[in-house]
Amino acid sequence: MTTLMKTTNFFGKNIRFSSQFWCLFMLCFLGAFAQAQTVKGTVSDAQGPLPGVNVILKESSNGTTTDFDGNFVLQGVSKGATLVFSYIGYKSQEITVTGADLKVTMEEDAQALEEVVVVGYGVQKKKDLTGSISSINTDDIQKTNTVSLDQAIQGRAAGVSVSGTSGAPGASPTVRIRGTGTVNNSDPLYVIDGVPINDIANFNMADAASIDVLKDASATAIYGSRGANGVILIETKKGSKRKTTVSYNVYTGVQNKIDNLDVLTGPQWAMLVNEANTNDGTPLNPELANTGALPTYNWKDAAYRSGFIQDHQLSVSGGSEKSTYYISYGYISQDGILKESGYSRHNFRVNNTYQVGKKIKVGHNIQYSNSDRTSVPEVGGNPWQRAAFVGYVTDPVSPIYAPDGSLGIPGYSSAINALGLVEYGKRDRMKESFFGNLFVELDLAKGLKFKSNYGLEITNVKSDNYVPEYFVGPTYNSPVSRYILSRSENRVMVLSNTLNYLKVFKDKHNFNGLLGQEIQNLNSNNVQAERSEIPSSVANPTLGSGNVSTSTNNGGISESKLLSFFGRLNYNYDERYLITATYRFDGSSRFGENQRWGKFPSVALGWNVHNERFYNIGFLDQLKFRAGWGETGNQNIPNSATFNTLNLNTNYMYGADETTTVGAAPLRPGNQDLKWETTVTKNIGVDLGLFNNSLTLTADYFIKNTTDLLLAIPILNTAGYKTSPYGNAGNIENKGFELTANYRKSFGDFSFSLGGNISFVKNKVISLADDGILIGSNRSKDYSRTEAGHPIASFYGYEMIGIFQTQDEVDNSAVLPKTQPGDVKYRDLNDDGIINDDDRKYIGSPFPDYTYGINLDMNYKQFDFSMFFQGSQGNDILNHTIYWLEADLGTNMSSNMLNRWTGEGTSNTLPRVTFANNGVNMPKSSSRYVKDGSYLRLKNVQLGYSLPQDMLDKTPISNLRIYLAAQNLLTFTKYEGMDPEVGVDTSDNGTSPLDIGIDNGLYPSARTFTLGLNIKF
Amino acid sequence: MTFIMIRYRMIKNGLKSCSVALVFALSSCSKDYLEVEPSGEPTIANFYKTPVDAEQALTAAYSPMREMYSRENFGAANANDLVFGDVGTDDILKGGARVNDGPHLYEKEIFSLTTSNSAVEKLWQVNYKGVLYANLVLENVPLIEFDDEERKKDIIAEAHFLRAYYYFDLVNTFGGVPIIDKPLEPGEYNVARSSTEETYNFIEEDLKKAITELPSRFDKGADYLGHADKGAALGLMMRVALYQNKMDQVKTYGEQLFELPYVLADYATIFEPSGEWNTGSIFEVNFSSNSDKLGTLIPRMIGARKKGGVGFSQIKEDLRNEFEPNDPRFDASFYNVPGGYGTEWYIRKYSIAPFSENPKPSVGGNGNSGNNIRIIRLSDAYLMYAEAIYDTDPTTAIGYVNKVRQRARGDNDASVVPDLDGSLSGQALLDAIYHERRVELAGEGFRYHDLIRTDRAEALLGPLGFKKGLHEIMPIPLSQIDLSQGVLTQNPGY
Repeated sequence: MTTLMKTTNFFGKNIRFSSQFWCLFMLCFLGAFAQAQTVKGTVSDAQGPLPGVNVILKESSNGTTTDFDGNFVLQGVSKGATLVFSYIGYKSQEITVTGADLKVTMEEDAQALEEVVVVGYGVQKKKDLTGSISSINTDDIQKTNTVSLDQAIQGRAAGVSVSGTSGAPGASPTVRIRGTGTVNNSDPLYVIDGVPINDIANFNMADAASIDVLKDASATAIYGSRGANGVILIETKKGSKRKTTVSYNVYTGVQNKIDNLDVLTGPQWAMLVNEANTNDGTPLNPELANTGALPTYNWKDAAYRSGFIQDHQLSVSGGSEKSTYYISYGYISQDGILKESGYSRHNFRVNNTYQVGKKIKVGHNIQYSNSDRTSVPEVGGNPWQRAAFVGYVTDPVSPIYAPDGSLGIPGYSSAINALGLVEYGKRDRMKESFFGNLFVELDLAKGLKFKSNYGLEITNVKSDNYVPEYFVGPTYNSPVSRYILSRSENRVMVLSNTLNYLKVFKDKHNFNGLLGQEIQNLNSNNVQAERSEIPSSVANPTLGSGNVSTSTNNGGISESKLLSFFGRLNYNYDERYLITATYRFDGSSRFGENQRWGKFPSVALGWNVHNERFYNIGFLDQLKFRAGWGETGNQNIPNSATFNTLNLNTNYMYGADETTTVGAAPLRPGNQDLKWETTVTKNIGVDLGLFNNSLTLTADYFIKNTTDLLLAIPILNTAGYKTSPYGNAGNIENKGFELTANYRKSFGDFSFSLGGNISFVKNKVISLADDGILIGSNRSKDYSRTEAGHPIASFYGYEMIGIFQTQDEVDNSAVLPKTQPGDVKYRDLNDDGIINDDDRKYIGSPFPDYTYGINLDMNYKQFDFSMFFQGSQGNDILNHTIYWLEADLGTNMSSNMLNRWTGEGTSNTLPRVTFANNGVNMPKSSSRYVKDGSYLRLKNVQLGYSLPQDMLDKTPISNLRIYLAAQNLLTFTKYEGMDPEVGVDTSDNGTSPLDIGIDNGLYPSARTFTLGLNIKF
Repeated sequence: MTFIMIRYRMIKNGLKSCSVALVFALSSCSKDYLEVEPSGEPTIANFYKTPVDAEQALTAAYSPMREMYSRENFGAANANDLVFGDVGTDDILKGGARVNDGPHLYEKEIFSLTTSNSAVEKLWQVNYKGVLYANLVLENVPLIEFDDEERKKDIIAEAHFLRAYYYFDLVNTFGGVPIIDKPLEPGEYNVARSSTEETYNFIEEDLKKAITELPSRFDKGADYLGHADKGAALGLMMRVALYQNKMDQVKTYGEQLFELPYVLADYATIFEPSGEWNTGSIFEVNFSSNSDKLGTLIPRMIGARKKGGVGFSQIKEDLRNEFEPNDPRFDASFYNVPGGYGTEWYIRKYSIAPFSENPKPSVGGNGNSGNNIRIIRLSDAYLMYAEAIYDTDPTTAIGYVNKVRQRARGDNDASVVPDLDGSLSGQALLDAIYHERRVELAGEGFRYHDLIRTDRAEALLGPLGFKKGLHEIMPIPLSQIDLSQGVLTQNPGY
């Protein structure tokens, strides 16, 4: 018997197919009835005893798990019976019982570990996936030395586009998954450790263990009403049960402005001013007559500097028999490349789990963070209050400092001295946040798990600013000192309960069912207050130092709630045919009683062709087809949109003493019939693995259709309402194709991997409210429109067709009033002989044809090298800085203007210089401002060296690596503005998602060089 | 098999009870859980119930009038008669930092208004907001029970005045406009334009009600100032009649106005803080540099750039030359600050220290001035009256003009702004009245409409770009034309 069993063991897998085995097995089985006994044993892996391993008597419900020393005891096992040992991340083993004391060594299953993907409310094996999900390698992104998670995922996954809104430290870029699906906020939902988080900016990227992006509705529908813009799932790092790891990562670096915009010198500018006066027939300014003698002051760099950046990350993780822990501390500090601006952040995190009993596990993931951001003015329709840009348009002959050392006032332009702007316009903001979750997991029965997860996010923002009296210029001064204070508290509470059932029937029917319920409660409460006339004797002013009669204050409270029920069923047959179906039922307090509930179903199918018996394509290791359909929703409307509320600030003053009297009147009609915006996504995809999976390819095609668009529908002003009511109108379509490819190969000591992703998205508005036009926000309404038949926020304006060369040409053309030779010529679209608003048309789109990322990693012995490129192709930028830089002599101008029109045949692109009819050469919007915004940027390049292991053997250090890195080192673009990374302009006091691709002179991206060190103990 | 059946039943029943529980959960707990009332603001369903609500609704109806000049609404403060209205005339240079500073104003200056001009949009928007707020009073207040029936009647009459005030700005700017006489429900917003005449009739009906019902401010306490009163309604009615060249009507209402105890005050003081609601002030829009930020942006908009203003609405030489030598009103109206773009001459009437005693604002930022905007002054009424009767009763007309000139002269020698010759008549008298209006009301935003209504615009403004039959009125905002899908028609030529 013993001999036979040994044979069985030895031949392990082969025996499964031999008929001999069955006979042997039957013998053993029969034997079991005869001699049931208690089996003990120890399970370990290469590093020692392994707790928590499932030990099950094959084909029975008899089983146990190993204790914290890897020991197990199982009763009722007969000699010759087969025990199955399984543990996540390890290869399962079947061992035949040969004696009472077993020693089992488990082998790690590296592939299985990698291929688990986090999905909503659970995990799934990658091979079982049916939806479109991109996993982002956290090792890769942690190399990039970027401050925020959203910056770090740029270019890392097909279908995820990240565009900078501002290079200011602490600014959040815009993240879009599969295009812009709505005119509302299109930001994706971030979920950290199962808890939706509102503010991702305070999350410490170094704590991320995995990042998965759910793209199609079959993956996101489980998040129902919050899933329409895609979901980014982040799991934070956990301790491992037996290893104690201490790691310390640090880098320091320096950041500089990327500058490819030249402006005129003093003599050049004065020459153009004189020329313009001559053109206009106005007398020359004697002060500018001798152009050669004029100085040039370098205004464009005046407010810029080299910024220092440093980052420290320390973490300790490990575990004992009953618990695991991960504790981390992170600190980042970054000077902005504009003076006075900066950002710093401290993060603490404690992630622990406790095995309370055999069947109960509890844990928590808790983060505290504290960030301090100093921002400088970036807002304004004209450049004067844009600190990053105003220097470019300041006339170069005015000195930066007055002779007495005070700030100079530009003499020939309306520009505000940039140094004064940053000094008196800077604002500090301190954000303190707590984010954490507590969870308990119960094993109710075999395969049946209950999990309750309670999450809480509290973000408190404090802003305290003392601004002294100042006079920087006629349009930027304050005759009194001021103390400006604001406080806000935002709270998000989420409680979810899920039941998960896992069952394999007859080896081939794999079931996984999930039922859940969730409540979410969002609260915010804010207060602003201000006083002025703070006595100069107060060294450290507070709000109370100001004159009480000057006090102003304001505040508000808002609350919204969500109640949800959801379920998911995964089934696969033999890992060949896969099906996933989800259903979510969401109720939102933002809607009226009749329309409160939204239903969000999805279904997806998958086929692992390579698991078919008939499959025999040698080089193609993996071939999988996926198809999915699903609905998600959007409820991004103001909490009170259904109500017709009255504004209490429609005040007036009566009487000789003019006391304020409260007035009340509606600003916006309410709409009780508002309902959910729904996005239907259809997705088909294929996953390929070639040449022993050294080359993997994933391709997806999707159609994403958003209907019942929630939007503020413009109504006629004759209604009398200041703001438009919300309604459900319109339909937007995003169609796209995504491709991800990775290739890895090694030759001896050299290994490399090359990866790339590309996504093509076409955005189109199918219909809008009454087929009307939706004009953009206050800032963009002159340049862009959203109308059926065109992409969202398409550029709109006159079409420039050249420069008038002769008076004769002017006389025989439709012109704007006062046009002369040398002025811009526009197309008279309707041939009515005049140029007016009717001659405007669509002149460009801010959406790229495709965006892409390319990753190269190489390792040779102790050296590693990586490069990461990111690019965008075919998008237009409405470069509104041209309005100032290539026409307006009230400002400095681009060096391009040296090639302006000076007579017949001299230029057909740049108009003459003039003071008098800038209305002709600079209408609010024309194709003259629309430029190709394509670019390819080397986002990150890094060279590292790890000390050889034998040098570290005598030290407690297990790993030591130093590296040099650069961000934004190279940019390939034809765009002539400051920075082609122009995203959604959020500076318009909040977020108007329709201000896309308009360059008004943004805070540019920085070029960073860093030196870093990674140590592990 | 039996076992399987039992399992099946268990699952089935389990599912059933689960669904029952689910449905229960949805219908009971969710109803309360998801019921979240908005915080901080009343909803319309609970409003318009008490006299206090009525007063608040009325106060709201005054606010768009204030908004038109306020720091609160930068766009509107760029669109009113003082900053926008007279740009393009022989009185006012647009000003600012340079020739094309302020594109919305520049378009007006070169008589090239586009249909998307932001100032024109604001004029349309803010006035229609005023119409809605007045309509809400007129619709709801009659249904509210008051102990003080007198006050209820006044509130309604004030709302009639306000609606007329807003419509007068609309008809002046755009010609005939859609007449909205009650708050509209969704689906009713798209109303076609009425004719200019119909619009004027609507205004006159409202004003007639206001004139009959409103008390005079002289019968009320100081806390009433700011409310529209009988004098304000009569003064506005005179202007409404004058702009239609209904001279009989100007005369009739003028005579009623002059029965009220208004007296001309010292010209040098009328735009000072002490001149707010002086004895010759018929209607003003109240502002205060208080912490509620209810100040006006006008002093900042039209102040000299070197002195904390942004330098719009500068005085052209043509207007300065209109003043007779030694006319004390010149210094009371203008001041000079050398340097910068423009004529270097600025309007003193809405200035702050050091150019007037109106203090620099210390609260709410430097655009939060306390200067009241003088809407109707007694001297304006005198000159309107004189213009109405110059032909029929020249002697009385001359008398009224001389009242204005005597006040201007003050304590000065009789040779300063001398009385008009009593024998003046016909065109010479009319020209003298025109001259007096231009000087007396310089910088107060009347020039453009005075030239249009007297048919002098083509002659005087033609060289600047004015075209008869086109520039009398402005384009309806393009956004509104588009939204109306053909219901709103554009003014000819735009």
